[in-house]
Amino acid sequence: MLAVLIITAFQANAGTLTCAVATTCSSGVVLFKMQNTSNSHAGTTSSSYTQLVCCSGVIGLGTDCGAADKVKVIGLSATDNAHIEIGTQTNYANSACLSVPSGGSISASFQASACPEATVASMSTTTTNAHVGNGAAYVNQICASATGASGTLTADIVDGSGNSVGSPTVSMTSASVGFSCQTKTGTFGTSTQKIRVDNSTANPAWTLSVAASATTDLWNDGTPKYDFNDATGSGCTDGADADSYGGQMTPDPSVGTITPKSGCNNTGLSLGSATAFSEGTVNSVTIATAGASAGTSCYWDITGITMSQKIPVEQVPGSYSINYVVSVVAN
Amino acid sequence: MKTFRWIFIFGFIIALGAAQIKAPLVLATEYGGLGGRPAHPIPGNNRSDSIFIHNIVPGQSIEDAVKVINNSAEDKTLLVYAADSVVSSGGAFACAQLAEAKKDVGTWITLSKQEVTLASLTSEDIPFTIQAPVNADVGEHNACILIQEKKAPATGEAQNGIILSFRTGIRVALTVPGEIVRRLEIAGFLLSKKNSSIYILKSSLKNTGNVSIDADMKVTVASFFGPILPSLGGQYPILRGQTTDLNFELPAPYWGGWYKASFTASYDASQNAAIGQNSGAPLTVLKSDGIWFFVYPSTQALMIEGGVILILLLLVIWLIWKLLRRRKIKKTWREYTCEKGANIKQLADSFKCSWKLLAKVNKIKAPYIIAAGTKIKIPPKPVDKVANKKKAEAEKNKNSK
Repeated sequence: MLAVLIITAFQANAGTLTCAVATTCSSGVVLFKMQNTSNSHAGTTSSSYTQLVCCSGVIGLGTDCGAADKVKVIGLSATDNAHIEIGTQTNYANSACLSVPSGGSISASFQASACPEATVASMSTTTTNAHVGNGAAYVNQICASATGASGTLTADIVDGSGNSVGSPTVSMTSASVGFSCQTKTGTFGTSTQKIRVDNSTANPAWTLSVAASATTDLWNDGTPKYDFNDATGSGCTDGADADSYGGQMTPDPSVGTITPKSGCNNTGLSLGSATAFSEGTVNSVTIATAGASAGTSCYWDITGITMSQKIPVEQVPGSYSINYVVSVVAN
Repeated sequence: MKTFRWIFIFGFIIALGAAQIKAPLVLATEYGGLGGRPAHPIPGNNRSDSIFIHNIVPGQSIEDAVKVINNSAEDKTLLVYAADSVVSSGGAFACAQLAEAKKDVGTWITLSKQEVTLASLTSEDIPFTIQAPVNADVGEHNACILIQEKKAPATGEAQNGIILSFRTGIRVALTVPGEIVRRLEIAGFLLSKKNSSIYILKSSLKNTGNVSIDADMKVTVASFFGPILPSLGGQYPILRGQTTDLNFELPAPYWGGWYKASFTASYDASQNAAIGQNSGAPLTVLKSDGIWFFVYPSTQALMIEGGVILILLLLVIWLIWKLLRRRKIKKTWREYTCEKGANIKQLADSFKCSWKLLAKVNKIKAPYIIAAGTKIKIPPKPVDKVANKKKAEAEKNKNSK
């Protein structure tokens, strides 16, 4: 039976604790387990029970009963097949705790009315020797509330599973030496290397942009080089800049796609326009902007941004690379 | 003996397996990323929770601090540095790179340290000083404080392509008081097609004042017949002296048709307003010209619309035909007095018309009994074309003789 309690949409204020009973806990921590969603025995996290009491939404949320800032939510009579008691009782030897980083706050309460923040579970008695169920099973509610570590605004490249990619790169299509200027493209943000902006702060406005690590940077293969921000000759020839190389890169974020985290949406988000780098004029290209109506406690994956590079005539063959910096700025 | 040995071995294996199942309690934690925020936000100003906001007079020095945060699962060494602000494409706010020397407002900021090592799930406040030059002009000046992980340069296998690194920045907005001018102008409004199912509405606002303004932008699209699509937009900072372009995506309306798009931008033009603080004065509202555009309906919608139009057309044709027939009946049908035993079917056969039409015209209802002497309307005598032709020829022959 599915848990009645639904995890609160992540458009709630940053750092809002939510708990639910479900068979999976993909993002969050498992507090304890239960056999069924009502009239059930309980088990610790090492139990083989399939109904998981999963809590999330607070940075640094943990289940460490030895942490400085923690609360014992319930006691269990055994590690498996157990009755439970409220956290303030001391009859049982096993504990299920929630913890937060130092400086945060965490509390649990037990009441016969709706929980003010997170509903962890419910129990058949008011104190001890109880069966357990999800929030809808019994009138006696087990509640928790927490504030954890300060949220952050970050940008990263993640794979299809949401894991950070260790050495992210954007690959360009290969080119052959040509007697005319040519354009080669790459895709910034793919299914295996998605650009992810994660905003777990309480403030929604940010700008995501990309720039070379220096305006004087060049595509580099040791000695052979070419430029990324020379607009001369439509990007094909060298101009009056300090280097002696032609070449120009044009990112086009407008053709990209923004995919929000489940429960979030793209309200307030705007993709940037296609813009060519030009030394001294355009040193940074906007990928996306989030206004005041954008969500918080959300992340967005951006894919499909075209990167078009003009390659000068008779460019020496080689494996070229250039360093770009992706910046997300709270503004 | 052999049996006992196998029992012992079997029991040992079971016990070993059971011990593996009973694993130690696993402590789970939810982690996040790296970043920072103002350590001392201004009470009552929500914007100061995410960016630094100060009024500063020329020559003044202000102390503040940035809270550097490591919510990751590992200890991290972070670089923390100030930089000039730069304008990114479309007028957006961005920051100069670490490798670039500070030339502008970035030079106003001095951090007490530029590198910090933080354990997992910890943070540290790093103090910094803002020193405004004595010749700082009136208006807003922006800089950045940036945080990025200190990483050793990649070694080993050569990489090619674009090698990416990441950082987080916090805007530092410093306003030198004086004659503050808050003024925006609409710089453009364009419609383009992203693909077959999405349009892009590009709204441009120009800030001709000397401070940034948080403008509320609202793009409205209405169909020719009036229904308005859900509006797009939001509140965005428009930087001093910059033109900001914002692209809003509009899914192509399913039913197609003619639509008009326009956008409005509202902002607080009062000198008493500031970042994160409205003055309470009525907002200034700018409105763009409208853009009319035609959207082809989706294939499914086209089929439905075509079907509806066809049905309506057939209905109109049928109504017109009915009207014309009614007029013809009124004009040409003659009166007839029914005799005793008149039967509507026989009458219809003899007058060569449908009994249903005869009943309908004369409003005769079931069981269609017609009393003797009842006057009804019947069709005109059918024209005997053959007899008429013979008669005409006979006349012609007679006349020719």
